[in-house]
Amino acid sequence: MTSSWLGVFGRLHLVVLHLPIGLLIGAAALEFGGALLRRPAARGTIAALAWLGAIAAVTAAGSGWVLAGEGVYVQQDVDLHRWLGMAVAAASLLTAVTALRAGRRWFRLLLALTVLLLLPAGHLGASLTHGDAYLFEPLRAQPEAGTRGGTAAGAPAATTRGGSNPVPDGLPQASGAFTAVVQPIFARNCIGCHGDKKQKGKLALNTVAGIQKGGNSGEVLVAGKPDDSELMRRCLLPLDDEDHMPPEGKPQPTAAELSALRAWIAAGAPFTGPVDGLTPAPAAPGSPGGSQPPPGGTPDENGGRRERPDDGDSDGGEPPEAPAEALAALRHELVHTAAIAQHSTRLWIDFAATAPRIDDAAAQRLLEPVRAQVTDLGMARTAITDATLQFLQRMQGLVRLDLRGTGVTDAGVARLRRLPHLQHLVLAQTKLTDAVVEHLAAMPALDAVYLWHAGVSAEALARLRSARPGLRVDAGDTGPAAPLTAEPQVQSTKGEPPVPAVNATAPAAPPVNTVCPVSGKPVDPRYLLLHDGKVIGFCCPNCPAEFKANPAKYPLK
Amino acid sequence: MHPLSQHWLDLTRRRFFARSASSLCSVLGSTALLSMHAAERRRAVPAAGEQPVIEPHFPPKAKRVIYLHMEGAPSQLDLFDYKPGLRARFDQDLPDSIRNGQRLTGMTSGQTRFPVAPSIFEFTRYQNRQDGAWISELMPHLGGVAHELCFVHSMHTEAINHEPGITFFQTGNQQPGRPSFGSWISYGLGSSNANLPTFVVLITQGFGNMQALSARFWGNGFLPSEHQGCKLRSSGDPVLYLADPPGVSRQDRRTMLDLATELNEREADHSLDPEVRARIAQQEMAFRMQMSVPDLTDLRGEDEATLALYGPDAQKPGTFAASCLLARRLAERGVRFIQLYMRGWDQHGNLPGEIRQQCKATDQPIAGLITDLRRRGLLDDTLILWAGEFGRTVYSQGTLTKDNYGRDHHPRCFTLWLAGGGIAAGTSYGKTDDYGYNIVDNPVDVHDLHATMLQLLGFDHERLSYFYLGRDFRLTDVFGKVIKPLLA
Repeated sequence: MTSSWLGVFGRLHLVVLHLPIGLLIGAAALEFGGALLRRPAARGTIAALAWLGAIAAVTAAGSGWVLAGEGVYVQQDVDLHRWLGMAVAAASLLTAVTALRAGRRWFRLLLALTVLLLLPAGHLGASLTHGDAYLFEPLRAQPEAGTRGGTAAGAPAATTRGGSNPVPDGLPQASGAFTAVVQPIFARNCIGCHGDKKQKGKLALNTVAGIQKGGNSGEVLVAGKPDDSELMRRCLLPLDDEDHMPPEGKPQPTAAELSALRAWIAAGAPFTGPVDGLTPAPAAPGSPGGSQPPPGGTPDENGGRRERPDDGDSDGGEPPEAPAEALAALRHELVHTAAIAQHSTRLWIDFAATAPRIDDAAAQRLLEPVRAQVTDLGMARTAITDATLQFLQRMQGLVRLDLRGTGVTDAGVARLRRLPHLQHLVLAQTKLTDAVVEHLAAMPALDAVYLWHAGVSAEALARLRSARPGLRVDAGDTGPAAPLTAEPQVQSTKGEPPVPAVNATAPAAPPVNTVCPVSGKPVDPRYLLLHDGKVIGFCCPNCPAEFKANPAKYPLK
Repeated sequence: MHPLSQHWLDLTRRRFFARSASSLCSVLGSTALLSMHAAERRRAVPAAGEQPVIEPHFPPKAKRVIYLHMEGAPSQLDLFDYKPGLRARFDQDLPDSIRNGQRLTGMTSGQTRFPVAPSIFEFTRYQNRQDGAWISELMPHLGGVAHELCFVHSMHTEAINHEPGITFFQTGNQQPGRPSFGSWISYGLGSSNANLPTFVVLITQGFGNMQALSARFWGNGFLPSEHQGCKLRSSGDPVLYLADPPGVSRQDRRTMLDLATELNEREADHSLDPEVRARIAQQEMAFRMQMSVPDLTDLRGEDEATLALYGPDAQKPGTFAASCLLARRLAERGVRFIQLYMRGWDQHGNLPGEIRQQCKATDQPIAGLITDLRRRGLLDDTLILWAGEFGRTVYSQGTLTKDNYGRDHHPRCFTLWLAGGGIAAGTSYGKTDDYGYNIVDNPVDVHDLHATMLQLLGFDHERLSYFYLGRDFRLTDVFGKVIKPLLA
């Protein structure tokens, strides 16, 4: 308890430090200004200011001492600030003690000394929190923008928080995904507190060494495993979680930035070389002559997030956020609308609640504004037709689509051939024909298709299965799992065997009968029973039990 | 949202406007403020489908759960845990080295000996994606879908009696009072069909010894009340008073409800009791269910072949087959958590006869449900769990004869299976010893099961929590680990 309250006291430094500056400079202004203008202020007032300033200075110095002990800041910068602060406190105390003495000489000398010490101490403190370059940055930003040329206008404000935007150690001229994409993300979001001046939690993200070393919680990256990486985990915690990073109230990384980080870690977190799916964002710093913005794409103020009206997702990045009013309209119609996961802009939309009322017009009206975001779309049992499929062909980010029990036909399904990411397509209970097989075989990403009661013949299904061996084609025609062996016969050693000898040793011979003795239906060779030395076949798994219970009742025909 | 923040929000926004606006109005007579007050109040009624949800932490493999709870604890030794070696030990005493001082229930603690009772049922090995699954002759249809099932032979639990055992399985704690699994899912994922409850419970009466089944098994605990399970009745109307009384039109009903809502809103503004809001939400749900439930239970659209899949009882209300068919219809309508209770597995005596009846009532419907979901493309995102609350002993309770025996409660090991969304289909996990008494390999406890299922539903079980009584509560309490080999 004590130590945590002490910590609070330390943090009060940031508030208290302003008091001695104001009070002591105020005292100096009255004392020297009064002398200069020959209208001296009341001595009591000046003495009061000096005493208040001294008390505030001692408090600020004391709390600063505690704060420095937390080890958040770079030690050598802190040390100078700390000793200057102590000197100010000491000098201001002496000043206060001399304030009411008869002679003014000592008082004035000490007051001047205090103010002289105060200025560098304050400046060093400000540099610690805001970075060296903070004060003069507005002066420097102008010419820099000029030298970078046109692209810099849209450049993210990467240089503001960490002072300058340092090239990581050991990477003087490195190129690739890290410098182009990942490092700017750290610069924008992290290095204000985990950089060269401050290393909260002993973590520095401005150097390769620092990133690899990690912080108080251990290593921040597990190469290849974004979900196990502390860095990713912290970013994905709910905003109000204590451990969430960046802390609540600070600017948060965008969904696109998070997915880029995830892709980078998944690729093994390399510090050089390219990473699949990670291309430098348009106008990102450090990529002169880099990739052209894709057609129709325009960088927005967040840098890296692109609005591409006709292509929600073809580069693996997250689409922009769906318009809130469109989501509200969907929900108002009782259409299930949800992000596929926290921090994702992709949507799962399901019309289950009001399916029979959804026709082509309603579907298109509701879906048009969220076309770029829909990843998983459930339209089962709705009243849509091929017209909606024509509309869906522009929903490029679609991964799962359920059209079960709708009025779609082959022509409609043909429209989906162009969807680059469609993996899971349900067409059960529709009125298709064998011609649909050719369209399905041409879908690039498809890995499961459901065709039960879809009007597709067995030959056509076989054709599809041989054309696309990796594709899971489920038409409800695969039949039950085969029984492999029945139980081997076992003798008990004590008492009687529990059942009249287990008599179903795997019958290898063909059955002696062709019709099931119980039901009279044809024998299915999978259901056999060894009885009285004869192999008897049955039509289904129920009949053998029935037969065994009362063999006399069911004579073999 | 944190309940305390909700409370503060209520205080700062709604109550402030309500209180200060009305007092200001009386002074100023300002109609502008009055209308602002009214707008605030209207917004307080949660619009349909707009209930707050947590959203999955990562993209889920499964969107919904069908939980087949076999109440009373079926015997793993007669169904799935194949122990051929026991046949040779018929009526021998269970060695002390196996029982190892394990506590017994009051029902067998008085027995002088514990004779080994091998299953009298034959087992067949069915093809799956490993070296085959041994399934008893009692479940021939289930054998036909063995390639879809993931057996866990090494489940264990802390409870030795039904009440705490079921409570543990449903809520992650043996003591009553925590929210049930379905309520957590409702709280975390919300509804995907605003016209039906998020969490539906269906109950089937069994044939043998039936233990009490209390409504708190599907209770919401400390979660808001709209997350409690909604039990559909098994005979007659599934929901009472679905039809409006003669002379009351749908519009009359709406008007009545609007007035009730307005009064309830006023109460909510005044008392800030979140349960009043839950009440409003539930009345709105009931109004919508008047339309959606008749459509749900109307089986006229089902073709003969589909009905046959579920067996001869598919259209007989109250049977397990009817419940399985309804479960499929609920699943395709987007209900998140469908819980079926099959009662009557508590076979302390006369086990062979009773278990035959229980299996006959459940085997074909369950296999039919899996097949039906599969061919409709629904099994990929539906997670199915079949489980009792514990297992049964290898030794006989009461007299052991050649064709009759009983089995007592056994929490140390039992078998359950999972199927569907994200599950490693066609596999088995964990092993028990030759007596089927102790786990020898890869134990899984109830918290692990919950953690694994939450993972498939898109949640990190350590982060799905609710603040109550001064701390964050989880379904898995402070335990649980995801069992990776169960995942596809």
